[in-house]
Amino acid sequence: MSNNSNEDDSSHLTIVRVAVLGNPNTGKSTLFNALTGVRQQTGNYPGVTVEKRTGLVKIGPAYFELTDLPGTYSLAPRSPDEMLTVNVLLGQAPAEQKPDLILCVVDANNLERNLFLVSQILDLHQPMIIAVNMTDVATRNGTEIELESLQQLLGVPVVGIQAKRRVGFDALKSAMASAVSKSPDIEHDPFSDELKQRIERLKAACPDDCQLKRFAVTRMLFDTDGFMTDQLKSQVDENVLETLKNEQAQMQSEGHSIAESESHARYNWITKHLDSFVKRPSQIHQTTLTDRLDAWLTHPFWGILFAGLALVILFQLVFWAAEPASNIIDGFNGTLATAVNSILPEGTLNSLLIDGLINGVGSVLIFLPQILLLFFILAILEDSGYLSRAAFLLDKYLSRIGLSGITLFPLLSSFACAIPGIMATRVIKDRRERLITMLIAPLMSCSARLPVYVLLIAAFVPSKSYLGGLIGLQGLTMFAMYMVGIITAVAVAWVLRKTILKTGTSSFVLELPTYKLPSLRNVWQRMFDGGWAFVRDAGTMIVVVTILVWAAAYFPQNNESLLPALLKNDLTTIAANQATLDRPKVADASIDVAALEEQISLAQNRLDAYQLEHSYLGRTGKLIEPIVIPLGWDWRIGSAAIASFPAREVIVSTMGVIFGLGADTDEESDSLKSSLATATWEGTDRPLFTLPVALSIMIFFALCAQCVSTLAVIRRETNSYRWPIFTFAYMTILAYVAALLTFQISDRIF
Amino acid sequence: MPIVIQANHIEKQAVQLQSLGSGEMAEVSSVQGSNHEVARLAEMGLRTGMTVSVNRGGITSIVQLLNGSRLCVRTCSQLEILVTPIQ
Repeated sequence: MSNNSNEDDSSHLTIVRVAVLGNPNTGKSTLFNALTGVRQQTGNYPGVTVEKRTGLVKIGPAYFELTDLPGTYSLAPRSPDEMLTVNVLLGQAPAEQKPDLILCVVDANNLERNLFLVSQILDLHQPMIIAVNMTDVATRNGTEIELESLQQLLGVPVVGIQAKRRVGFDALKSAMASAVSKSPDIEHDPFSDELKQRIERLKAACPDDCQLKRFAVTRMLFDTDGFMTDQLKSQVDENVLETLKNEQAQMQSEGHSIAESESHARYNWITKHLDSFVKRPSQIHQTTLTDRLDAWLTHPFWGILFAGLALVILFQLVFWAAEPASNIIDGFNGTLATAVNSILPEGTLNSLLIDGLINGVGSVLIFLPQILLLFFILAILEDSGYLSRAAFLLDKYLSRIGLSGITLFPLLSSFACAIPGIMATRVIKDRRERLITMLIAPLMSCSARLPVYVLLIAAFVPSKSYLGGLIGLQGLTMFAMYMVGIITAVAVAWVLRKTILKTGTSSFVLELPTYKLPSLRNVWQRMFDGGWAFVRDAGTMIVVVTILVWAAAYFPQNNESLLPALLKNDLTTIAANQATLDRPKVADASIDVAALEEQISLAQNRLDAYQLEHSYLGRTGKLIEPIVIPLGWDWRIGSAAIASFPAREVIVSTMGVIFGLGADTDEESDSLKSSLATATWEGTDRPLFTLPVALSIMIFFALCAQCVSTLAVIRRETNSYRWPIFTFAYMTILAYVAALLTFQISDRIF
Repeated sequence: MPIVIQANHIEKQAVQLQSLGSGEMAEVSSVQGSNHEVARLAEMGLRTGMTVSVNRGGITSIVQLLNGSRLCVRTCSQLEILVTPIQ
């Protein structure tokens, strides 16, 4: 407990630290959200990718700070992320100090499995309280739980609650207030005499100053792969490690499996006492709603059909339903840019604000509707229990490339946008599998690639059709572009599994929870957390990079006196026409306003193109020309590709500027298509854009990591710069090689 | 090679979990594999001696434990679950 003095208030503020934990699907987060409401904070624990959620609840005069720990089945950690829960309970880094109270949430419908974790936590002998959740569902299923008997058995307060309906909260809060600083009444003892003796021998070997003693040696005795021993060995000495080695060797020589000994002991203890506090209907295999739904939803035919429908709806919603909101944000950016334009005169500040800052912030916010929608749908699917069924159905297919069924939703979402797709990998529990999914997600053809495909296919792929007009060549090319991404992703996943993320074929175990109506509060919270994390963490990097590219395209500014004669004429034309247009409106029918504006626009576009050619960006394009010539590109295409590294959709407007049509062009622009079709290599009559060049550009864009937002999100999700750099490097190399092969081969064919 | 175990004086063959069909019940004879995998399954309640019923059979199967838990399980070369079918 800590006392924080407030300068404005002489009274002391008491903050009680509470660690909230429990098995997955116990309603832990529902309880956390219901207790803390809006008083929550989300962030990452330093050094690990585990999200830290804390929230405040006031009980009497004291504030209780709840920390929502990741759902776990056991306190036997096998990875740094899983170790976090143990460290928080022990008050070791990254936690600042031990919790004053542990609140363990258990599911009333599966007490046997949930009490396994409770039994491990009791070994800590710390102040603890147990919230038995979903008592209403248990009652409906005919299960009666005698909470008083359970409390007597465990020696800690036990309270029945219904977190979704906020039932039992008064009793829970009251129990929390009185349980602080009160250790369990009894010493928990679930082990056989033989195991007890082993634990006692290890405990006796511990130095006196070892604070963990019983908990530490118990965890080390059942440590299957040495991870926990590594973590705790600083707490003990060589003597303990030697004794531990002997005890484990003895267990094995006597035919006891270290991997199963703890589970056998604890589950035996639970089974022995279960009847004293749980009364269940004699017929165990009653047909429940979950059974009836599973008969359809996990069926090899109907289940796949339903999963396909769910995926199509998810894809369509993320792809289409978010569009109006994105358009509103885009429109708002346009209005803001117009407002800035009307206040500030043309110049560096104007360009920085409009082309750099507003464009940068806009490019972050425009993805927000898609992200919020995706998290909304995923939260509903996960909270209802359906997500794990879909994972079961698709696992047999995805396992062939070393992934499991759970990776389907992130990969599918990435067709709309890789950013929410990568954020959706949070549902994957296996660290390596999650990493592989994150690394291949950007290969799915996202919506930002579509403008590039539309422009180049319409301009260069002949409008032929086959099978009586049923299949068109342009449509087939578009389909092929999507398939390129999918096939490459499969190959990359396979290579990663065999090389740097080598794990062999892994098993897949996933609990299928009972179906339930999703908690709206949970869904909202997950949606809000996902959206805010994106804006806060990824947004910063995106804005910085966008401004850097703006600067590269804007500087150095042309010296008007050094402009070629034609462009000097353009300047004169702009000034003269503008002066005419600015004159007070007199009845002068001879002035063709539209023609004057057209002339200004054409002249300005030529000036912009010249500016871009001589900017740092244009110069870089010329510098890399020898590298892109084998792809069939000249410096102009190279510059457009560089400019589109922050966001690939930028290429269309950049090409508009380079080819003198202005930045307002879009993929449907006939003038841009015509400009590309007539463009030639500088100083020659040789056409610049041909079908092989168009294919080469499309392949490059299909495979290249041209999205700083995606890289920023990978950095955020992996908490490391290593993986976004790796993604950028492998995708860029892959894109270059594939574009090179595409051009070189197709140039010989067409 | 199938393992033969004695149970109730009747010789029953232990088979791989994934060979069971939907609706079949079995007792877990052994869970073999890396300690990590075996311990993880045991913690979730799937361990030697437990009775399971198969809701969906196949390479990736759904098994239901007596305590009501439903688990989606796919084994691999590092994890083998042998079960003895219960008639």
